[in-house]
Amino acid sequence: MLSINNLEVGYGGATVLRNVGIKVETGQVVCIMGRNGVGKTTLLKTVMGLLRPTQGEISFDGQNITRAAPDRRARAGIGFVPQGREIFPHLTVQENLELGLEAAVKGKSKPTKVPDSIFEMFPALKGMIARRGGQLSGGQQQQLAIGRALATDPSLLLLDEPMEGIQPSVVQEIEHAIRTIKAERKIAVLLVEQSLEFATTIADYTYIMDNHTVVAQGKPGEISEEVLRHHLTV
Amino acid sequence: MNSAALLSNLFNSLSLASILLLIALGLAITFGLMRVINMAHGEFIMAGAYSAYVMQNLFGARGANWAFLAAIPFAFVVTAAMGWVLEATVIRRLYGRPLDTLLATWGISLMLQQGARSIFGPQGKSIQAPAWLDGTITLGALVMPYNRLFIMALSIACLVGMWAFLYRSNAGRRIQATMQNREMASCLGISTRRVDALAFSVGSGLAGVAGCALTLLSSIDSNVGTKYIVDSFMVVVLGGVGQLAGAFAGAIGMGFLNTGWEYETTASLGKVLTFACIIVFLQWRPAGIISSRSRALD
Repeated sequence: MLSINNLEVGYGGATVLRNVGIKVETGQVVCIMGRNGVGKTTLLKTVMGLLRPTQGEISFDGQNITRAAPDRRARAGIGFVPQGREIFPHLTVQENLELGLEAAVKGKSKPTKVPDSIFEMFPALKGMIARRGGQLSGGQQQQLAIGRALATDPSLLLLDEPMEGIQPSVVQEIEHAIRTIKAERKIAVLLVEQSLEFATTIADYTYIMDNHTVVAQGKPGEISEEVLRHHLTV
Repeated sequence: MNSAALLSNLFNSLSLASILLLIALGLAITFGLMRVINMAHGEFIMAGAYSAYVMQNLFGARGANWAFLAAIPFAFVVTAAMGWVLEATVIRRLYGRPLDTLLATWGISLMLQQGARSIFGPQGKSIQAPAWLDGTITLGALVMPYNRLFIMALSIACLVGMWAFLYRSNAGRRIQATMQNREMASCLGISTRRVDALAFSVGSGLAGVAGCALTLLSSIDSNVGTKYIVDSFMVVVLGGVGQLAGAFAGAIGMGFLNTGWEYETTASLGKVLTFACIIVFLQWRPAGIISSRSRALD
């Protein structure tokens, strides 16, 4: 459903991604791993449309979206949970979640209410519905960001290091949420993840990035220890 | 100060505050929320005032009572449309470049002033206030003209309407989200371009309503905007940019300061002292009376 070919992205002359090719099938969880600074976040931002590639093609659901603006991609069914969560700090939890409904496509019956499944996934959010986003802890903000991205039931979810800097109790809840998404097999997930342990247990397919490009790929277990150690250890 | 003078000063302060609030409310959106320095905001006020004049001519002598009421929504639509065009043609291309925006919109303000002179002539036009606004309420020594009371009611209505729009409607929520985090808003499916156009139009439309109200106080000419532009920026900065409560607090603060100093000194010295007080205050609290940055949100 998502296919990226020969992608090249640069910031002001410096190339951050070159010749990247990635495929995500419907309902699949695909992990991208690599050390800091190899271009993982850039890749997700480019898929979302926040960065324009200098070369290559991104297609989603059979449509070429390489030049589409982020809001069009969101309405096409891509949900994004960025690094740093990017909660709207002055808006309440309720309002943050309702903003997730903006991506609902006209024509289909447009949901006017945040689905209950979000609160089943993250019960903690229910009790904080009237609080401002900025007052939540990092872990709660991460749950809110995931809930917001899931509000319109996207067909592809982009998750950028969802466990980064989050207290262990919440990490478990988020891992559980991702497993639930996977079990239901309706939403494909493109996950940037540092934890090899979590990645190998959840991923259907893994890409290893180093030096601004994809250096290895395969199902978990197919990639040799040696390759992993070479590209992932600091 | 005896009690009669105190009461009338209180009323005058509130009256001035309501005028300041009305002229600053639109700016609280375009400058406070969107951070666009629109020097042509004063000319949108002017356009609103001339809209009242156009309405008066359209309705003729018989309809004078209704012309003014019709002029308020008409002025809103006219200036909102002007704002929409300005945003789409100039300001959209200059987001994030405040100095360029300032210069470009200043140039546009000059063009609009000349345009008004060419269309309506250089001499001032007076708008006949509707008969139902002639008269006063007298409470002891306190005399309250209807037109001042009407402006107070209008500015409170605009404030409440704006509040409901920004904080209770879907469009308002989109505006807030876009102003707080533009990239993330677009990632949620919000067309930030449309949001910008809408917010700027609404802010401009409010300037038109303010211009309409000003015709109740004095005759209007093409310079009416320049008279108010500094005050309106001052109100927004004093109150604290970013939310409506700031504009309200700024208008009240400046209304009382100005009226008080004017009572103690003269009109022009009063203004100087008012601005001096605001400058000192902003040295102490640069974010204004109501600051949107609370510790919890840092």
